[in-house]
Amino acid sequence: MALPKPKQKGKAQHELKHESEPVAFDSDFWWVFALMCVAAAVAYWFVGPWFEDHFSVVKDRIGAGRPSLIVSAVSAMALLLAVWNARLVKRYDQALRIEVSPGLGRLLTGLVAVAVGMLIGRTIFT
Amino acid sequence: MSSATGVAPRPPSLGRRAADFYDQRARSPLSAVHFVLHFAIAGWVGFLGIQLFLSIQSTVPANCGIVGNYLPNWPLAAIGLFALFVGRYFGFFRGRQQFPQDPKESRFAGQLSMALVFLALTVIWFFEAMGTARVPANPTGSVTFEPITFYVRCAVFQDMASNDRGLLAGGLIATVCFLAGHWLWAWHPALRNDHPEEEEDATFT
Repeated sequence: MALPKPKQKGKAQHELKHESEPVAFDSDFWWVFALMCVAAAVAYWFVGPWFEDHFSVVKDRIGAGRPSLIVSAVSAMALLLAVWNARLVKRYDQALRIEVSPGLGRLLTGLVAVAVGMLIGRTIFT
Repeated sequence: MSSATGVAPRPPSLGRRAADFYDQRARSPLSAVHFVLHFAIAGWVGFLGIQLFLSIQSTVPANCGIVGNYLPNWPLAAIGLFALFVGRYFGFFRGRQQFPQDPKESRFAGQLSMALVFLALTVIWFFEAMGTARVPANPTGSVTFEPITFYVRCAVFQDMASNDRGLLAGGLIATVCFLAGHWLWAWHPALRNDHPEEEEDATFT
């Protein structure tokens, strides 16, 4: 198994040339994923209590809106990344590589399909 | 940049640019079909949007708690599932050839479009949080916000109970599922050669 190529100094990840050799899977996915996790945690532990206090949510509904708030926060983070990506395209003519390895991609695709089917399909059609 | 005569050349007309764009993309009859249908989708979504806006005017919100015998509606579920797969494999019409990279301006506009999509999703999911938490919609708390699925079920009921017999609901479900399959779960035959090792794994020798 070949060792990963050392990163070039003085260049951001998005500025590196992505050559075709299968040495290492060069992707910006994981740090973007980490940002999403931070956004989700902030939404759950900080935005959630504020939301319930601000909108006078009744006691038996405390916590009910937090899953949706988490998705909202992750969408907001994706919005910021899309704006940043647009800036990268404008200035450097290159965007972030937000990709996962093919195996993980298949797994995530399947999980998303099942989640969408359970969360949306069941409530709408039954 | 100026020409040899010192006069800046006129930029190509919109029609010329559209024709060039078509020439770059449409290399076969199938990809020409793909090209035309892509533009037809935009018109279809606009048409459905107008129909939806007009139908909302005649909706009776008081009936939203009633779904009668209209749900569960398995034909609508089947339409949605079928449209999802049609959207996924719509890329078949595109062909297997590698296209030249989109111009920088086009990719920039694409990223801004994604930003708009995520802005809409942020607002929609915040509204969903208000619905699932039953946030009061009036000072007395007698009316609360509802989850988005409540309004979708209401729309299906209203449409099934009307003279349309679910035509608009079916069209909307099919369109949304088609777009989801095409954008979020697309089959890209042109990109299959990006992972040659994967192709080798799939070959029985």
